[in-house]
Amino acid sequence: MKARSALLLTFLLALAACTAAGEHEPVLAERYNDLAYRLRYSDISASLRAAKSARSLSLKGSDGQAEALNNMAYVCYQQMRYDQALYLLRKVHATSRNQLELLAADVLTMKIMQRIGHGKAFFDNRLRARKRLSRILSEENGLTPRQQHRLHYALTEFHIVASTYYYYLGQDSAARSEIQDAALHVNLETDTTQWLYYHYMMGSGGLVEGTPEEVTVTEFNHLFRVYTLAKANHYTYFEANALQSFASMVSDSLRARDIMQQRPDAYSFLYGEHQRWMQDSLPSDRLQFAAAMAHHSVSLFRQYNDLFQTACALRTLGEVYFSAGHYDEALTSFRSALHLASDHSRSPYQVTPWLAGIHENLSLTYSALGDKPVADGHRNIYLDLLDDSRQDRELDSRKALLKQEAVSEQVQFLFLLLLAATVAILSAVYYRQLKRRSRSSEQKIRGIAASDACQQASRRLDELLQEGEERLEESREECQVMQQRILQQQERHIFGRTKLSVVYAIIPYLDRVIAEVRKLDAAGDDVSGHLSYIQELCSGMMTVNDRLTSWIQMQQGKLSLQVTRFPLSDVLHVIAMQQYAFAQQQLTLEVSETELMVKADKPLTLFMVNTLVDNARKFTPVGGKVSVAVGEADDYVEVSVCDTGIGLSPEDVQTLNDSKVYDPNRLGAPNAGKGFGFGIMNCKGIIGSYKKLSSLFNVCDFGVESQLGKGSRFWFRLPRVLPLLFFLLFNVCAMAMPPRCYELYDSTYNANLQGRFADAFRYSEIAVATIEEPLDTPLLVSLLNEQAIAAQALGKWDAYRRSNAECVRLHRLYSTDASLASDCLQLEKMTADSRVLYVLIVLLLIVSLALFYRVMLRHRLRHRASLDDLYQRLTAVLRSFPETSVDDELQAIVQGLEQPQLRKPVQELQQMLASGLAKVRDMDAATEETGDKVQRLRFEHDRLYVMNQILAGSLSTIKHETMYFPSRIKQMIDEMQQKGFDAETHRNLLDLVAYYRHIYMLLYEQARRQTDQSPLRLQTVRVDDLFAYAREQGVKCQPTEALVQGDEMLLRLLLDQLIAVMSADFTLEVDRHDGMYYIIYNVKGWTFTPQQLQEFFSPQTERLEFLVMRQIVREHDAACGHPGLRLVAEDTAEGCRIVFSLLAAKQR
Amino acid sequence: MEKFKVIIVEDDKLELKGTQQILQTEVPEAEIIGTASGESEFWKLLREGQPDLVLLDLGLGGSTTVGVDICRQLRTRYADMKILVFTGEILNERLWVDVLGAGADGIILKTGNLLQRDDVMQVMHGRHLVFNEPFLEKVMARFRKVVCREQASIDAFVEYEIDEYDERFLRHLALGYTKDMIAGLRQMPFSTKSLEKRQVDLTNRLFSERERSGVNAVRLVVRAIQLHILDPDNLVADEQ
Repeated sequence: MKARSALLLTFLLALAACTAAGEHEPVLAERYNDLAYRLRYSDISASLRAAKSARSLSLKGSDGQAEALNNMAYVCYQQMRYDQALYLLRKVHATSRNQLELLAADVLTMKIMQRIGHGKAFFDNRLRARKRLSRILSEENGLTPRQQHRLHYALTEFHIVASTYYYYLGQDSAARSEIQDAALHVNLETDTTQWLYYHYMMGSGGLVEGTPEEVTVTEFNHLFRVYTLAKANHYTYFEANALQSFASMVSDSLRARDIMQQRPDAYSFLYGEHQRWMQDSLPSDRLQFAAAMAHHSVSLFRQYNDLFQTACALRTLGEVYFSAGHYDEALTSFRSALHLASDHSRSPYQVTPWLAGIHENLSLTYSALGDKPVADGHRNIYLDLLDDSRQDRELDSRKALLKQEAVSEQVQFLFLLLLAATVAILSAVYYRQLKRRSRSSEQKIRGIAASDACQQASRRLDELLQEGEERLEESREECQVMQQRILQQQERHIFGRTKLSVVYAIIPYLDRVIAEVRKLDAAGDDVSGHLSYIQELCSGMMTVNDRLTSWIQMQQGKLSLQVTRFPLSDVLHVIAMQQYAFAQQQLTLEVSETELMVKADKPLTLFMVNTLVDNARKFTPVGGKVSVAVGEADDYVEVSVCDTGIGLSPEDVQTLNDSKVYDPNRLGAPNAGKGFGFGIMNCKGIIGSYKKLSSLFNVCDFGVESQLGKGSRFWFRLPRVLPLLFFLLFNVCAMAMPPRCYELYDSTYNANLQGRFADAFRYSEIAVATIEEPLDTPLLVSLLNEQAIAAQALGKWDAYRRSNAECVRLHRLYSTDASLASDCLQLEKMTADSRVLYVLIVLLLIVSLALFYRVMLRHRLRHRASLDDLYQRLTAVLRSFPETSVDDELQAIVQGLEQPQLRKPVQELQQMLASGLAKVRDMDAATEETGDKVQRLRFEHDRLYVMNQILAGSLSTIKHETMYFPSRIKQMIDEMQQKGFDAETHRNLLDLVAYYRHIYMLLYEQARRQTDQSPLRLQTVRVDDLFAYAREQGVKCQPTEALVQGDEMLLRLLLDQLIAVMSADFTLEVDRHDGMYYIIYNVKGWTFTPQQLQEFFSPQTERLEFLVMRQIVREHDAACGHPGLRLVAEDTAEGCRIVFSLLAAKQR
Repeated sequence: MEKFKVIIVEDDKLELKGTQQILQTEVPEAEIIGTASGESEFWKLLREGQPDLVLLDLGLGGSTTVGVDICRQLRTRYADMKILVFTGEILNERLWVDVLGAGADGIILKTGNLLQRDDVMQVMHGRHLVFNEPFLEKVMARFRKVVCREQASIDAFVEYEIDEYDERFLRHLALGYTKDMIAGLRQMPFSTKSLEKRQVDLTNRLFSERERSGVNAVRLVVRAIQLHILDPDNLVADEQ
């Protein structure tokens, strides 16, 4: 065939050469064009050559050239060189005025756009083609036969392309109506190719209605007609296309059966023709036949040199193999199809829907071959391409825009008409009104203070003032609360210190005991005196111990921890602030981020982490790293501090983990200096107190892991809580979801993800059944996609096809608007019509208005504008109040004022607002100051709180760990008294006493560390204030002018103690000598022996209050530099009195 | 030795008993003419008869430091009276200094071997600054620290090759002098520029290579104090 066309072409060329002189070149060009057109479906290269010749023969801009370009573009289209084709078509548009050729170019552009899936461009060209068509059809009678032919070609092509477009969009009815339009214009006689094209379209599927059987047979008939005619006339393109369609028909067993029954003759004819193409490897005769036809089709397309169709035929071949279960062959076919399709060097445009199809085939084939990952990869590409190819969403907005435009243009048009009519009247009225308005504007500015804007501004100012006041009040209240809490902690601290002083009181006894025990050895016979003295000392110690125990127990109830729920990051952020300090020592501090919440005491947690980090820093050499990490379990959070320091020996680790009391000075590496401090002991104490508080804290624990030379890890655990927000969110989400569907979708998705495809398939089927389509299309699409994936993985091809087809259908449906194209057309037309008139009126109006303005209005307007502008600016300033700096803006306005008479009201306004704002600012400053104070107080409170907590813990440890010693010593002394002195018992006794002292001093030291900082703040205190405080509690006081140095809060606490201990008939007075004020508390009617009075302030006293008083006086003594402040109890004629002295305040 | 009269000031009965026992058994020469548990009681007793020795506890009743006051008053009234402080204030070192300043002849801490015959006798023989072993141990610990610091200072001068100009330069930097001011000192025959050089040089000597970056005058001076090159107690400017 190729040879034939080549022959024909050579003949024509020769003819051209011969007749070049005689015949006109346009005529020759016409013939070449005819040839190119006729050859386009039989020999594409020859067609191109003919078209090129026609082009070279025709004049620039002539009809012949346009036709030649169209023909060339068509060849480019067939060869998938879309950019080249579009280039040629643009050339047609640029050079030709022949409406027929332009129409042909439009139609071809449509065809290209349809293929590369540019919906918007498709519609644009379709609109253009339509317009052109209507123009041409109105002059149809004047057309020559050749022009008629071109017109019919363009018309059929136009409808067929549109039909194809709708067919691929899944809009079958629109596609059918277009093809029916095409049927009106095809004619076997005049244009065989278009006749073939039409019937091929009818046969290729989707355009025939009826029962499946009828459809199959009708389509087959169309195709068979195409096939026979094309074969006879060497239209390779249609021959191959028909074969390809036959192949896919025959590969479907049902359709094949219908054809065999209804058209046995045609079937056997085709069968006979293809026997030589058949391969034996396929399982059935029918499939062998289908494959043969597909093979034949492929080879024909190759010969014809249409890449796109070759790939299509390959795909069909692959599908035949696939349905035969020959996946390897199928894969080969699909891959060569893909190879052809994705050759990007050919064109920047991609034929997306078709590419998508190939990827889908590949996905299925790989899945069948068991290569799931590759299959998934192809499926993903498939879905992406599908998404790309859906109708351009831009159209929606375009339509909306056009609609809006049309409406607004109409409105504007009417408006303009009205305007033109009234402009004359209005101008006159306006001019008069302008004058009046200028006056009223001035009035408005004068009365700006009463305007809405001003009132709003002043309301806002009031609001600001009120808000400021509230904030200030709030922060003041917070401050008071904090002060109250600090007072509590200070009181607690003083009590703690008092107890500690009692603890300390045992030490001299203990020293005496040690000295006495030592003397026993040398005392000889005189042992008994010493022994009984030791007995007495032990009794003394036991008494003190008993008192201490009862006091500690008494206050234990009050010492509960401040347990709150807080995010651990709060604490870790504070720790992270030390990074700079670490860097100074050339250490790295790493604090991990966490969102975990714990339930614990916040200040104590901070203290613990801080202690551990401090310790780590102490024992980590330069260049090392300390890291704070957070681990989690179901019920606890573990905070650990790791370092790359010197580490601890196994013995030390054991000591730290197991013993309650140890000598911190003996821990640590021998070379790096000992001195581990009491930090670890304090941390363990805190963990202990958590555990005592509630069973919730049973998870609390503390531990150490370490390797000598490598570093250590200290950790502690706190109970974990879930953040409240989490619960809340979860519930809200659960409520918002429709029942089951989303869950089922999730289950499906997860099942697919985990490879449980059978489950996924089952879930999706249930879910699909429950979803209402219009409501949940996106969900349904996703579900069907998941179902398709599952079906594919399970090898259920039918189920796959079903769900995939449904998925694609819905996907398209969801993103398509069928009436879009016609709407666009209509709207565009409307807009164009009104535009001309509109422009005219606008011009007229502009001119007349310009004149009016120039002659009359300008001056008036300027005056009024300046007033308006002033008013606007004022209002704007007022409205934006308080965001802008009102003061500056108003000042600027006053300075730029053209009307001096308006200065006063503006200045008044300025004053009012500025003074209000100043008040707000003052208030904010005060609030900030109070805020700072609260911050400081909180810091002090937390510090005191931690100190108190640890002090309480230490005291409790002292109680537990040392209580038993005095009685044990006493017991041994008893033994000695009964059995007489012996050296061994003596040695044991010495050891015991020495150990007791060691432990005792150790624990005392731990507790004492917490009292290093005095809680006392020395200030000048009016004694009368103190007396006023006492008076409130019923004490008679003489007024006094005395000023003393002291801490008012502690002194009040002292008075509290006095009153608590001796509430009878009492008076307070002041006496001064030697730079001291003696505050005398007289109690009438209470008498005590000197012995009792003396014991008031000794550790043996029965009332803690006395010792608290003593502690307060001692604190004052220390703070004042030990001037020897007194606290004594004396008897008087009427009863007794307690006197304490305070340093007189220095005169300023 | 001849007998001498003693008054014991002690507020704790049990301790008083122990002290009395010690005196009776170990210092038979001592005649206890009275005991007082508080301030007023003591002054009353003193009016009745003047002792040769007062054995004084510092903390009495409600007050910790009343002993210091008593000591001061006693010393002003009775210059020859021996005062030996016998106290349990083993941690409050400030009180020791106070009471010695107030005229006490010695301090015996109520720990270790407590009061011994020797201590009493030395005071009676007119010795001042009589201390028992626990007290001396504490004093020695402090003394050792001071001496070590001084030695560290000498070592630092040698190790970092500090000459008198370096020291003077650093000292005046610490006192807030600018380099211009230092260059104007009589004993600093250098220009500002060479002082700048000296500062760089000092930084190089006092800091290891890794630490050097960003060291300013303040950091340099602080380092000098840490290395005991400068004595913060002795920062005095040279005469201009």
